[in-house]
Amino acid sequence: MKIKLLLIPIFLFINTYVWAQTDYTPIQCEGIIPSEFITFTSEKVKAANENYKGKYKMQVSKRDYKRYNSESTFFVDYLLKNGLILFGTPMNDYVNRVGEYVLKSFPGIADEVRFYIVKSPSVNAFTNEQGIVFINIGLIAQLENEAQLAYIMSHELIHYKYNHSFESYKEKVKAASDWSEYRNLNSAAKQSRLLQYSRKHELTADSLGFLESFANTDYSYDEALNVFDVLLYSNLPFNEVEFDTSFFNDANYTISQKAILKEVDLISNPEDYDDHEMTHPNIKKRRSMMIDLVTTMTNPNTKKFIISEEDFFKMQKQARFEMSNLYLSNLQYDKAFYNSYLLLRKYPNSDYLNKTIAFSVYGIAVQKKLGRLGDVIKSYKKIEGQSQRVNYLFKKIGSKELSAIAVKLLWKFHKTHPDDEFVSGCLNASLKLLIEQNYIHYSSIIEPLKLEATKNKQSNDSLSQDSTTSFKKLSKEAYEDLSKYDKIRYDKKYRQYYGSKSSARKTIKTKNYLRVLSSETTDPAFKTLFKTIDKQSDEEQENGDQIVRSVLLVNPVFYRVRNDVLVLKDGEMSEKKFTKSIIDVAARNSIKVKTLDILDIKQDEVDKFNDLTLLNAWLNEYGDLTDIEDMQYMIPWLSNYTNDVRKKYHLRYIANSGLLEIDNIQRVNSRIQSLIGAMILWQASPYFIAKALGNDNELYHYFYLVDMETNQLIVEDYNQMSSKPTLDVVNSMNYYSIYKIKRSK
Amino acid sequence: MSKLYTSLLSIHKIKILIIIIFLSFSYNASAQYIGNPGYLGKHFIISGEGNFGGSFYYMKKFWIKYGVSTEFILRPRLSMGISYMHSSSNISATYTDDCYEYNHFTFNTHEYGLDIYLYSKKLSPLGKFYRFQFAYLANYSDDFFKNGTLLPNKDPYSYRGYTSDRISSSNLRLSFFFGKKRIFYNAIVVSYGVQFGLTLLNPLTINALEIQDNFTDNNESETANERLFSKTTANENFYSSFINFKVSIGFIAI
Repeated sequence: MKIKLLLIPIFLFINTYVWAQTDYTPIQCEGIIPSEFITFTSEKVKAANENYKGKYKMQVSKRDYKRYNSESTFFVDYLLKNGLILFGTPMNDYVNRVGEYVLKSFPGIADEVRFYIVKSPSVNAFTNEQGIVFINIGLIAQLENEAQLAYIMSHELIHYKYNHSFESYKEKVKAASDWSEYRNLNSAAKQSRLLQYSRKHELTADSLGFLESFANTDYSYDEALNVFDVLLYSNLPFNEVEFDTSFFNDANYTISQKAILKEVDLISNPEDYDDHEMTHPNIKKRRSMMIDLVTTMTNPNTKKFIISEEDFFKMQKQARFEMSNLYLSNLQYDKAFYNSYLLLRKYPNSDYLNKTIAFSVYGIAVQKKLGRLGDVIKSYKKIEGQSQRVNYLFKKIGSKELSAIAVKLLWKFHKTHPDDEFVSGCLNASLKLLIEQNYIHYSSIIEPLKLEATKNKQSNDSLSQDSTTSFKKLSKEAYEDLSKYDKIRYDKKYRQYYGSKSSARKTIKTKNYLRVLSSETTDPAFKTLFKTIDKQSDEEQENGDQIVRSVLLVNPVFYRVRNDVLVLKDGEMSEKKFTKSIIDVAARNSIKVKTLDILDIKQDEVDKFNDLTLLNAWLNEYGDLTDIEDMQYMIPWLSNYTNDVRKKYHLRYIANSGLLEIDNIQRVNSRIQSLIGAMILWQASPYFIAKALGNDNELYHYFYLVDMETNQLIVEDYNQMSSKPTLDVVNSMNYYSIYKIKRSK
Repeated sequence: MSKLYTSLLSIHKIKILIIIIFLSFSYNASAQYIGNPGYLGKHFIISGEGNFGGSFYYMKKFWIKYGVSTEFILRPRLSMGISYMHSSSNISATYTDDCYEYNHFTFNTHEYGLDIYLYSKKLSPLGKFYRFQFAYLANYSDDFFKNGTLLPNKDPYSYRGYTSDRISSSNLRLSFFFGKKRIFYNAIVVSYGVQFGLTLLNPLTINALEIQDNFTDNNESETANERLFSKTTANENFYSSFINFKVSIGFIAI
């Protein structure tokens, strides 16, 4: 028995890092679900409202205090209950251990604080009044060492310790009051002053985070300064490596010259940017203040790691892998491509990275063809550094050529992973795009030219050693070993001495897109697949629709806003009634509705929680993609991971629905008008009196149903009505949506 | 009674008109019927209705009408139906025939309406809606020539020249209604709102058209009384329908 118990952590450890040896799968929560994930939001708000005493009572009215609790709790719960927060993972474990170490300097609040990881690619961390410190995966991917993480934590804990969140709210209330010093200011001036107040908090958190916490640790003080580099360049990928445009080339195909950016824009140094409309001071101000602080103190420590260097880099690696997944599900295909490209250099055999690269090119090809490139890649003009070359390529390359490249990459992956249904689906869809939208048929592809294989990699002589100048050139290897921030500095100096690093490329002008798949034509299997898809496109598509008998309803929501304030009281009960209404009216149409709802999940049901998280994310991604004119060419990235869930729930159709009630007190003018109406048209006075006594209610309802097998949107229904959410109205709204399902077949 | 007046109010023609309009709508409706969810699959409403109205300037007079209506949901924002309403009131008027003088009669109206309902949102039959009605009003009095006072110098047994105490007339009316509808327990339908009605041939329009009596009938007094009845009832209908508060309670089924 003891041996078995001993084996469990070992097994867990192996299981967790199994991707390191084989491949990566996106991070999922583990263990017991923390109670705050499943406690009703209304209960949390109720409990928080009961704390209206002491310092709070002195500072704000009860109404404002309740409003603050509603808003802040709702925001945090939205993150917790929608699967955006990770718990129980080794990454959490490591962050908690660093957190515990930092919390030694915060004895009064140590028991109240929790650290969670946010599945977001943005470089950020934040805290709230309830003592939760959130750290984004995007930040973890960019941090260079544990000391930087510890300093960020110190900063956030100061926000919590000194109630900065509540103080900011209080200031906002003051600004809205006619009796404060804000009264003579116009709205722009008020906003400016509030932002100034926020910036003051940030500087306080920077300085006190260092003085009260970080300085008491054994970490190197320098890292409290270096962390500002991370923040300054947070818009850049985690590394700066030249994108090799021969990446897509093979013996028979060379990428079009027009798609190659000769010279990338240097990364500028916007340290002293205008921060007047920002919540945070600019980096120059923050760094200057910190330099003054740090240099006045003797730094006895040089440690960048205390808890575990190994675990930090494992966590960093995992975060960087996860970034590709997050970028793809957020439709940031350019970033996903470059992120995976950077990682692929170190992990060339990673199936996950190759798949993310193939998918991101496929996604960009579809969007480009459908005229929505701007939705998935950023303009290269707004990008600096090496990744600019990637965005330039996707912008300038022809749509046909890019679609063919997508097929090429997916085919390459498919060849080595024929059982991967997701990639097979993407491959078929990309071939369909090639044939139906780009009008490239198998017969149009130019047969292999049997050209002498050209060297794909152009020599980059700009990085070779040159002893004639005082500037020391680095070898390519040495350059790549530099940190992202050192590379930025090196590039600037290099440009000063040598100018640009551009190099000439071979040009093939005529119908280059017909050469992309030349090499693949030598493969009979490719020919067969291509011709099969071509034939299917010619033929009338059989309608494979089935009658919808069963639907999984994921996280239905009900929100109530009264007089511009979110009302959470009894929100869950209303949500349950709303869900029951959907189930009931669906049953009238012989459709069985199962629900996967955070309100029904228990603490030991982490698998169910992960399923919910995945399906939620899938629906979000799908929702963003439905702008695409035709979903037959585009498969959501997260479909890659939904197969198991679909099997588990015998699921084909997935639905999401929500109800928003906006209840505003009727304006006095409207009431008076109604009363005048009642007096003039006295015969109809009951109607006008009822109108005068009522409120302005608006009800918004949405429902959509997707076939996960075909990715087709079966029903998309929006309803709006001037009414309270009475049972008849809610039933009717739901019935109309469900009725559309029946009518869709 | 004028030819124009008589022909316009021909019951026969009105009936044909109603049938034609109804059929044309039902034909279109049956073509579009497939996309008609109704309320939880139910499409037919039958309701009892009450109208409460009074004159603008004559506050003492208050009319109550009651009846029944049916409504069939055709589209998510459209439904149609027919309705019936009855009203009865005492009218004070002084008129005579060859032998008697009368000073009041009981006035009854049967209203037959064709209704079109338009809902503001595609959730019929719920929420705000507008109802357009084209109605035929059949007016009659069973005691018009009853309860009279014998004129001086008249023999109580003298022949009055007609066999019935009953007299009748008819009007057309267009109505516009706006209000709200709710459903309780998935079955009980309640609606309320304001109705504006315009009786087409009312005393004003009759005068404007200067409709004259071209008859050279031997029985002058009878013709004059019929005209009086027509004008009086048209007048009543006009004012009683002009503005109303309307309530209905019914059931939705099928």
